[in-house]
Amino acid sequence: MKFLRATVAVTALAALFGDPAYAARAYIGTYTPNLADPRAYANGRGEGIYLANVDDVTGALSGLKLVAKDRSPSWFALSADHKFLYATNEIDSYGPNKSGSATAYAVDTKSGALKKLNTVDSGGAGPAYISIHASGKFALVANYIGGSFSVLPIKPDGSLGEASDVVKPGGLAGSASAVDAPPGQGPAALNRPTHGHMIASDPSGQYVVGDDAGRDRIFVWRLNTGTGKLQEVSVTNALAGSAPRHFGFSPDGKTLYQIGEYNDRLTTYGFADGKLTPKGRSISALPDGYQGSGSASRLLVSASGKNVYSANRTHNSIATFAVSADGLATKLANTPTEGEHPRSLTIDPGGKFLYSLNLRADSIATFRIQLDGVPRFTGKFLAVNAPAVMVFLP
Amino acid sequence: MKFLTTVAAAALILGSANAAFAARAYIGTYTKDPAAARSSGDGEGIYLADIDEASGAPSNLKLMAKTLSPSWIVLSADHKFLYAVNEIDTYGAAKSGSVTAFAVNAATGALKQLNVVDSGGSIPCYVSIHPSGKFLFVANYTGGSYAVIPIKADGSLGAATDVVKPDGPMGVYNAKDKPKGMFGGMEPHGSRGHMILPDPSGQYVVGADAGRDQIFVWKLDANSGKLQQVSVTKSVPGAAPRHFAFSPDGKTLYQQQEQDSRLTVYGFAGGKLTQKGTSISTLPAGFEGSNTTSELLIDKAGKHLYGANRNHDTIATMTVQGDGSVKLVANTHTEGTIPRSLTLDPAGKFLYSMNQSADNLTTFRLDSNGVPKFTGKFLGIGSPAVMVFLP
Repeated sequence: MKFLRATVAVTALAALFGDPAYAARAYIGTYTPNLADPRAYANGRGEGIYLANVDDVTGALSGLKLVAKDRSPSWFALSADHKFLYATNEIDSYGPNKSGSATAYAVDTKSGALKKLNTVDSGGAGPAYISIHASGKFALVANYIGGSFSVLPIKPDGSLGEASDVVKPGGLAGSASAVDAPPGQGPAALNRPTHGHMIASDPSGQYVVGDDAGRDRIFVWRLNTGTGKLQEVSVTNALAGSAPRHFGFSPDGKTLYQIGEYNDRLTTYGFADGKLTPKGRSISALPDGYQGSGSASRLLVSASGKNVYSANRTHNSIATFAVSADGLATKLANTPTEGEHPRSLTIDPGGKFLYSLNLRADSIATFRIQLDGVPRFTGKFLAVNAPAVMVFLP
Repeated sequence: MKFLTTVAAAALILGSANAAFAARAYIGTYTKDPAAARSSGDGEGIYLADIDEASGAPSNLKLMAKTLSPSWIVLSADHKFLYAVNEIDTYGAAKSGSVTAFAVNAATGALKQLNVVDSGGSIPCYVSIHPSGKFLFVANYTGGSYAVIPIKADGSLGAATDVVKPDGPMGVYNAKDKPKGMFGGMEPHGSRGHMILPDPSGQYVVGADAGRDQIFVWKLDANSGKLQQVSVTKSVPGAAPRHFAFSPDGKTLYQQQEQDSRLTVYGFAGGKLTQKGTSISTLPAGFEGSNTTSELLIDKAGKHLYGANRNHDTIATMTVQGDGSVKLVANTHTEGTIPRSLTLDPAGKFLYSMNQSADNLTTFRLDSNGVPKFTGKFLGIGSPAVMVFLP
């Protein structure tokens, strides 16, 4: 009797909650066709935001469904309660100012369905990053082409308000090359203006950090949650021409890891009182002896803080770094991404799997993270056109 | 005395330049074209590199000739002349492509430009030489044509004696056997000449049409310089036959297909192709997403084929089985984006990958199974397209 009851109960539970192998799901954002300029970077054959099932045991993705048609939703943020999803539209054709936009969705956590709430100006063209401020009351957006960082209030119903602040830094033009770029690095654009590439709260929630990949600097602000304005705390000059693109914090918030897009190097900073202090020397994310062009994209820190990962879009590899007790990183391995142009990387909430979003191979490759932190390919691909970003829906 | 002899020998080695660099290779690159709307690449023309015979590593890169996008090159049998396509669509009033002839200084590797002629169509992407040494064959991608260009006694080129421009129903994308998730484009298109090469017997000339999915076999009339059609073989619609390779005995033709990432084996006899077995994928089992193949090479023994995958960015090693069928045995990361072509060194020990979008060339050593293993050696070079050894 006991056996029967347990079996029946488990089976019924499984029926209630769906297939237990697919406890996890993930949203995938894609680049969609840019009809005005088919050769622009922000361009692809995706249709919007997709939902995939994630097998808890193998990490494999399946059951891809288009859940929202949208224009180039290339970055996402999910609210802490998972009820709202915010996407940048990485475009330069929104409104009379030829700006970009951000779109708010209500999430049906059961089905994963998305209901569009509204779309607002992102405060600049080509928005490439969106995150939610620690207060949960503001979305923060980095605009690449527009060269700005903006604050978008989140209304009680989850929809977005007009920007409460748009910071558009000035200054001297950015350098076209970094002294420590790989030998043979292809020429970058001259006289680079500001390129907002990432903006996020620090783990303490006291500060907001922004990467300017054009003028090579890292901003730290405080957000006044009354006015929704950013107040500058510090500006750190990164190496000229290095193009600071994405950063990640150690779990204790005392260390910031910064990847340079053009020199493909990882720089470690101590972070205290809103100020960055370089620690040690930067290290290359590319193999020893690498020559040619480098182009780093995503940086991730594992939940334990023991490993840092970065993606490279010309070598098409994932660099794994090990973090020592003093917070400094050393490189362990370069793992082929199994597809071209990894635009971003994602780790599952369990910390077992790593996903590479291979934009120009139109696929996502699944890796299992080994004991030493190095990802190993599982053999599993998922075809999806021009994947750019992936966020788990717990 | 014996010691002195050794010293003399050492002096001889020093005198004859660095003996470790007995081999050299030309490397063609994509360049900017001032007359075109968009740049094709970061290279400046044709370079020469020294090749270390022990490690296979290229070094001492030198620009030998500034020329527009020399994306395919061929050396004459005596190594005295080098012919390069200029993969452009801005040559002359007809907005054609061009071919440039160079005289080679065998001692220094220096190139002296002889002349430039119309390639018979825009975006020429392949050039080879007829066994008679008297004609050059060019495949024009966008122009959709195959041209025969006479080689004069002084090595310079004449005006085309023949331009074959196939007609017929438009080509389509999306081959039925393409990988899951492969997006092959929408627009119907005409012929796309992608390769033209004489067969090992020298009796026939074969041309791959990646636009209308067909493989032509011609005979060349060496007097008139005209191609006479012998056969046309239909490939899978949308497959885009791109590069092919012959077995050493010339009885088998291996055809790589760009848009479905597959390799088809054909028997070749009497100027006709007969498909043998079913085609195989150049991608790992379970692959999903987009990929386009580029180069196909065969080793001298005819045992191993090497195909380049762009987007998966790997070298597919395929071995020829006892029954003549082909099996995929490995996919090796190219260590760089968009392998435009592959090259084997003359001794068959090393394989090189021209990683066009990574601006580098990577060196692999072939292991005892014929599988390339990365040596750790990169050579930075803007938009490499093709590499040819100068023995």
